[in-house]
Amino acid sequence: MKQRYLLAFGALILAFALSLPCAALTVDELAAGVTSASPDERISAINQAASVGSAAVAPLAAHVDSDHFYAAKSARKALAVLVAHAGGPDSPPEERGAVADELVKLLDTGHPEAVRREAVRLLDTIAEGRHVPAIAKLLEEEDLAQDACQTLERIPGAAAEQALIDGLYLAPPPLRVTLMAALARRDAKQAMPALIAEAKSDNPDVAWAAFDALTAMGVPPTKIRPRSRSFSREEDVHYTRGLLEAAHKRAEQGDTAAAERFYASVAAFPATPGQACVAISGLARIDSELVVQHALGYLSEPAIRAAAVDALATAQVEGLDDLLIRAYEKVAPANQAALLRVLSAREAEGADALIAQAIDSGNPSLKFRATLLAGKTPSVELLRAAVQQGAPWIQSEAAPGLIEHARQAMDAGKIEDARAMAETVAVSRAGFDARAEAFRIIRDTASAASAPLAQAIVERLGPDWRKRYPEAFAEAAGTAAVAVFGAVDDAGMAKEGLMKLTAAHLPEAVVQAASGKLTELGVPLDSAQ
Amino acid sequence: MPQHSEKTGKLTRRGFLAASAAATAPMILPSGVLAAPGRPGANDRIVTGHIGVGGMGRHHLGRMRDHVGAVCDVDAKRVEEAQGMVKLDVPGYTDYRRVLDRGDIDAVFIAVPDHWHGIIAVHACQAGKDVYVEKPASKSVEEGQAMVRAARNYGRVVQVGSQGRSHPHTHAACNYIRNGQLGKVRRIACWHEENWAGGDPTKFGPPPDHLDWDMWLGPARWRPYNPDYCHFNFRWMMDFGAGFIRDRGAHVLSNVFWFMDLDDTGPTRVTATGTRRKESLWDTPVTMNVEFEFAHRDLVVTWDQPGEPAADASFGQVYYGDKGELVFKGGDGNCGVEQKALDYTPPPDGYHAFKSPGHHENFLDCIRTRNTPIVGIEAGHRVATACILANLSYLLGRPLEWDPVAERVAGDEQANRMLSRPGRGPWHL
Repeated sequence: MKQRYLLAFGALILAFALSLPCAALTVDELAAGVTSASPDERISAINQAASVGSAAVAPLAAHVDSDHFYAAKSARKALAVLVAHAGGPDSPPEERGAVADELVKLLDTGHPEAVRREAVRLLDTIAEGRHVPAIAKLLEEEDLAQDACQTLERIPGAAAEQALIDGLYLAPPPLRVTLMAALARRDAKQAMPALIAEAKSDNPDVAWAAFDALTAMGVPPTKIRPRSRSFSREEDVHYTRGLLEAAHKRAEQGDTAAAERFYASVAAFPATPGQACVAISGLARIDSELVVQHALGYLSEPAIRAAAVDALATAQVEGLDDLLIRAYEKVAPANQAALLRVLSAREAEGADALIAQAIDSGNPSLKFRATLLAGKTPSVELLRAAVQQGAPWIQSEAAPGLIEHARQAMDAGKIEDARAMAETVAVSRAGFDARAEAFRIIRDTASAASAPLAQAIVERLGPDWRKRYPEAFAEAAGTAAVAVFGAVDDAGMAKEGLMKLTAAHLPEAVVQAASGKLTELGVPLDSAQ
Repeated sequence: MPQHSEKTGKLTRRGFLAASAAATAPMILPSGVLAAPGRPGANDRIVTGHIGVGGMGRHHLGRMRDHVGAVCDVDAKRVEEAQGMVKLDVPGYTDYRRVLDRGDIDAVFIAVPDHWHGIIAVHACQAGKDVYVEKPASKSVEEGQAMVRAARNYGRVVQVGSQGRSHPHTHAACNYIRNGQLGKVRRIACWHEENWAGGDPTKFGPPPDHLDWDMWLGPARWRPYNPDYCHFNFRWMMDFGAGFIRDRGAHVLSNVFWFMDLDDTGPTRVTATGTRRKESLWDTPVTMNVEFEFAHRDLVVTWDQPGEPAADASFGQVYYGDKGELVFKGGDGNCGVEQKALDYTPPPDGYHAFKSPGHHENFLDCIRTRNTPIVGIEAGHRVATACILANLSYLLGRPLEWDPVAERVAGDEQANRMLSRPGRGPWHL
């Protein structure tokens, strides 16, 4: 009993001693603490490591490659605490320097690799220029080079930058890629000649990494390598993206003249429609006059049109409103509709007159757009014409309105009108949501007159329908087809169509509806399947 | 209404199209914006690529099953399992770059460990994809800045997966607080359970054949394989996930930032302490106490693990105003606010918070309209920055004076060096 009390008292005293904030440990006590079998003692030692200072670096490092996991981990954590304290704003510069000096000593080849790795990693937040040569030397060692590169990237100043550049001449290809990225992140201008040389490397990974580094620093690809006809599609996309990266960088730096040239070049020769969108938007952001010609040229391109409209609506270019009004007279009606929207958004003088004039247009796209911009509600006839004959984007905009009219017609008992309007939307190029709603109306107003549509649905809902249609859309279309087949007089056609709609690959709701209808018609399900 | 008009009433350049579209027809589908590189011509079925198909990745797959066009994971076993989950015969990949090469992919879901978020998100923006990236948005402040830049330069929609903002209770709390029902809120106390225990240091060994460990590590410093480092457990390592202050902090602080109108700023001082794990493979602290001061907003937010629960929930917050208090439970996909907030209706001329139809739905809507999502990357970056600063303060053992405009730590070069995270191998931003 007495012994238990003594042990408990001893433990209490030890715990109290270790918890004293101002009781600085000696180096030996610290080393003993981090290697203690007691977790509490290890933690206490780690928490007090800062007070011991640079003298503790080597003793702690001696345990970093210990076979005892927790001793090694505690030694690493204690070193981290020590480094954090030394690097803090309240620590004198000489303490930071002394700790870094001690860590640099651990980079020597005489120490185990685990110790050297830990040391080079810890140096990344406190090393100064004078420590760079020792760290840079590790770039020649395959197992430590990546860590050395990452540490050099964080050290400010010319010495670290030069070490990264020099490393390019020493390092194997995988590391050269890391070095180049590090130089780009530091925006190391003096690395450009070396990077341009690397861009000519026979190793494509190295060459493209140099290309990426240079373009990220604002160098246009044309100064690195020519755009080649022999590029694969991916390479061509990569190349043009480099031009965009250079443009973004120059715009960020305020060099709008260069940014304008680069954006315009991509706008003229994009590798993808998406890149054209980015280029046009870039021209608008820097308020370049060139946005006008490029954006106008893309108004008919479905994949680029929206970006072109957005760019024209927002660019701050002197005289742009007048230019757009002159352009309005010369472009096709569907594009006039887009320009009306642009002019309205810009609150351009003369926009209201053009809108008033366009309301009487015979072109459904233009008339629909003008009607909306004038704040008026499109008539059902205009909606139908816009959905049937409008540009694809106009069809999408007009479809919900026509669906609304179809619903109202249903409520008023005008079933044929409702079905006709729904069919107009169903076969349009409007969005899936609107078309799915149209199919639901067709289902609810099922008529033999829709048989051709039902047959077309069956053909489209093949085994790969999921690649083209969302499930909700396929379900709406399929169940509409079931309802229509249920309404046709031709029993053969109905049975054939319904049997196809019981295929296992179709949405469950469609299969169930088709099976139910076949049962209603007295067709055994076995024969259907 | 585009969300960014909530405060300023102004439209950004990117917002113009969305706003005019919304004003004319709610179902407009601007065809151009959907066109991925190499796919001119509109097709409004949004095709998604899923990068990272573990826990949250599978959740996204389930929610997006009509849209899935590709699945990808560095663990080939997970790729196979994901392919089995989706009915469509979708291609599987172990390298996300192959997904980004696909011209028919409109958007990507990035549900990989935190240390990969920034790089994949930026590359996705450059490839013309819209992005849903899991929270917290970034692992370093510089990464977050690069993500913001990439989204802006490439005109991409980026939604950060702090889905709490899309919860009806969060919406109600936002209206309640922003309309002054608590008066001036000067203190917010967040409680949260401790970081989880575990992490077995005896499991080191070769990685399984189906896992590309080097690719899993990606930009992070190299370390040997241990199964307790990866998949779900990445949360407990500073190099990868870095604890609940990020994992759940990115949810909780996202809501705090929204309620308190902090999306374009950040704390001015961050002080964090924690207790170390006694015997574990992992290196995040067990308990953690953080104080975020927003001196310019006369506000202090505290994060305490474990803290004192004000309700029956493993985490939550109490908002202390000079007219009253409000308890909010959870903050991620599960949220619960007091009834008084649910019963509250803002006056017509009051503040009306944007009501998200659901986090995935909001993302899909924004792909169509080009609006800024409810947790756009600018907001996500600010929230992630607060989480990052908390961990930095803990690691450095001192308070950090943060300048939210310059996004630098005042008078602390060491801390500023840690705002960036040099990448390993080719994985740089």
